[in-house]
Amino acid sequence: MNATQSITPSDPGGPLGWDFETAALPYLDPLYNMAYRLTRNADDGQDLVQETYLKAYRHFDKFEKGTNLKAWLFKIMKNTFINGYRKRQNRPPESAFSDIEDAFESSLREDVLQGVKNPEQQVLDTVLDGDVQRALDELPTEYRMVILLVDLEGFSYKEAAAIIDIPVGTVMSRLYRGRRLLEQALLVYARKQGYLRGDDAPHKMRTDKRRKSRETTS
Amino acid sequence: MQDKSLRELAFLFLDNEMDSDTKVSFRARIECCSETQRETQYCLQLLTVVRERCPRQPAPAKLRRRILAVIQGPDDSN
Repeated sequence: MNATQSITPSDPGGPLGWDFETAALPYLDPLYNMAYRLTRNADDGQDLVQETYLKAYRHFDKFEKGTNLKAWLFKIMKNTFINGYRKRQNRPPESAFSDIEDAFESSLREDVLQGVKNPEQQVLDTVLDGDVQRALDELPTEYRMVILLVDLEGFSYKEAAAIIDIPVGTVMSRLYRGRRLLEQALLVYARKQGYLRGDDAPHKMRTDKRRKSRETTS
Repeated sequence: MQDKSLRELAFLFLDNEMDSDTKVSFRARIECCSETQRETQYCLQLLTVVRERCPRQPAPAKLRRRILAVIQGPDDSN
């Protein structure tokens, strides 16, 4: 879409007697955040948001006043992403959840959790911002989408189900599996950074924390 | 609810997706069962990490201008 290409509003005040800009533009930041996380690219994210707003504007007469405008906009974005945008990106097919899960669990079984007592709580304290973003970006789209909607945008399960157009039970299962994948990815990153390494991992983490604490207080 | 794992229940509780009776009962379970308490605490920690350490990306100013230009026409955006 060319930024200078405009559409002609049939009713500048909005078909429902209220202004589209005033009602919809406050959701620009959350929509862009979602688009950026879905496309994993700033330029693509901006294009996706622009297409979303354009479609919303054209079909604003179909929006029922009094219902959830934010959810309606997110639904348009999801449909735009799934039906058109993602196909144009020509991305290779993503791995099945079971394959990824197996790979993670195999990795964990082999050398991450061996001999480590209850390492997860300590590991989560060491997670870096970049690790969370990377883990989220690497999730298959189906899982990433529900986590973005529920965990980052605060939609209820029912609202997320309406946006994605799937049953609430499917939202629950994708959320559960997506969070599990995230958790496992964070454990793998922790291992790579040396925070978690076999038997000595908890000791190393405690030592590092004590050192950090001393550095902070001195 | 009986077919769900402890972690699934903990997430439902933390997401405020339990009905009120189940929530009361799960809260009581947290208070008297150390395993439930530990698992719920861990799930809360995981959710907090995801929510707080995944910075939000604000929309660039030029995107707002692009959208207004499309909706209003290029002349109105200046």
